[in-house]
Amino acid sequence: MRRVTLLAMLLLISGAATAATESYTIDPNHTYPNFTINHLGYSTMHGRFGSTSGKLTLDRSSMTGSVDITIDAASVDTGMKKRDDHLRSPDFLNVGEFPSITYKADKAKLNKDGTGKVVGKLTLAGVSKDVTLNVKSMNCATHPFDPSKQKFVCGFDATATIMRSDFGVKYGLPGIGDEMQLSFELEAVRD
Amino acid sequence: MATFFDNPLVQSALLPFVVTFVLAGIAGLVRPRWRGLSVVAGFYLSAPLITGAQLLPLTSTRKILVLGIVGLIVALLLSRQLMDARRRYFILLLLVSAAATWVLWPVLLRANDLSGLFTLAASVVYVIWLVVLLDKQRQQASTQLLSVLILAAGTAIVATLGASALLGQLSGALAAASGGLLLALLVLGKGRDDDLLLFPAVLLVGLVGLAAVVYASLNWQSLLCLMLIPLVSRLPLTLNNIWIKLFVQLLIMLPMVAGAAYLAWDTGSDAYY
Repeated sequence: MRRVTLLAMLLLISGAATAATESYTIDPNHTYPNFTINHLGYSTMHGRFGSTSGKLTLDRSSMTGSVDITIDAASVDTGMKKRDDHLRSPDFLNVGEFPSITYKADKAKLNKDGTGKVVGKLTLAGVSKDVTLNVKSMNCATHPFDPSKQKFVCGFDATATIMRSDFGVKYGLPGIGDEMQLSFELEAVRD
Repeated sequence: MATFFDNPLVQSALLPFVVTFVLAGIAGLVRPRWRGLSVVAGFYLSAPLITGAQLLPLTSTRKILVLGIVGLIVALLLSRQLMDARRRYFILLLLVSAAATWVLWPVLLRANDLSGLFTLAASVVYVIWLVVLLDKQRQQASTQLLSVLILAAGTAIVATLGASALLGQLSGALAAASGGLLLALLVLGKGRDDDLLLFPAVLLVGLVGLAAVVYASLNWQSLLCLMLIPLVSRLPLTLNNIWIKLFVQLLIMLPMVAGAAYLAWDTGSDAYY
């Protein structure tokens, strides 16, 4: 009898642990990765990617999870068609050959307040490098506009700094800056 | 010194021109048949400065550079073989088809309709057109060289207007190297009109043109204009002075480049804004 009780308790504990890890799908309408880069020493130019997809897993009790984001490189938008076409060309993102920019982190761990650092693999223009995301905030709640109150959303604000030359994107150096500030404001809906 | 070699004008104009001119002069004294190789030498000295020295990831641009070396080996082998034109062109067609397929491979993999095959077919037609027509000019060295020079310069202009300065610079280096050899032929040459082994240069410029269409935003119409350039040598010009003949041919070729540039500028998105 004691064995059965012990087994039942173990099953309950493992079930609870599994249930704590939740799966989320990136909301493409509220997720737009941004970047800034120095332009010839004059000013800071901004750009963003209009199409992003991906999945997250999150255990809100232990604040652990994983990230798997895919950005459509061709969706780059700086507000000027000529510049965007140039950014898509082999000089920069080479979207004809590398249509996706991906970021993957299998073992993300955040602090209790939702901040922290996530080390993952960024693949840009066919080159993969470890990049640390600095997560500045995380907020999870039921969506206030959902009448069924079933839609549960988590949002994150994160930043990272990369050197584009590390990814083989060297056109225009050093005039056009090497250092890029990346900013990920993303929302994900619980599956 | 590093800053000097970082300058795009040095990389794609001064360096390949000077290196090719000097090497062509030396080759002209030692072994005139090898003068054409100076174009390849001048270009490949500049290319790593333009694209970077690493080979991976193996992008289309780097594949083109590898294919230029393959083209050089094939040109050397073909120059030693006595074979009829049909067999020679069949071998070149096979090589061009394989080269275009390799360069376009990422696009062909993603194409889920016939558009990929159409693009490949158009690419092969473009490159083989240039290769065969310019190969037919190989017994008129200076005319062939002028055609390669203008074709490479035209490709450099339209590739840049088609939003890739990288491809534009590579083609510019080919134009400068061709210019260096042409000057060497005219000033230092012994007036011999023999095979200059320009196949690798023609293959390179053809592949750069199609890469600018497929991977940047150059339109096909610009390349159609450039396809007219090799036809200029077929015009019945009875001019004995080589300088005057080349000048007249240049005047005929320039509107073709201007037309290609206009079409690229009108519909494209140049790399300077």
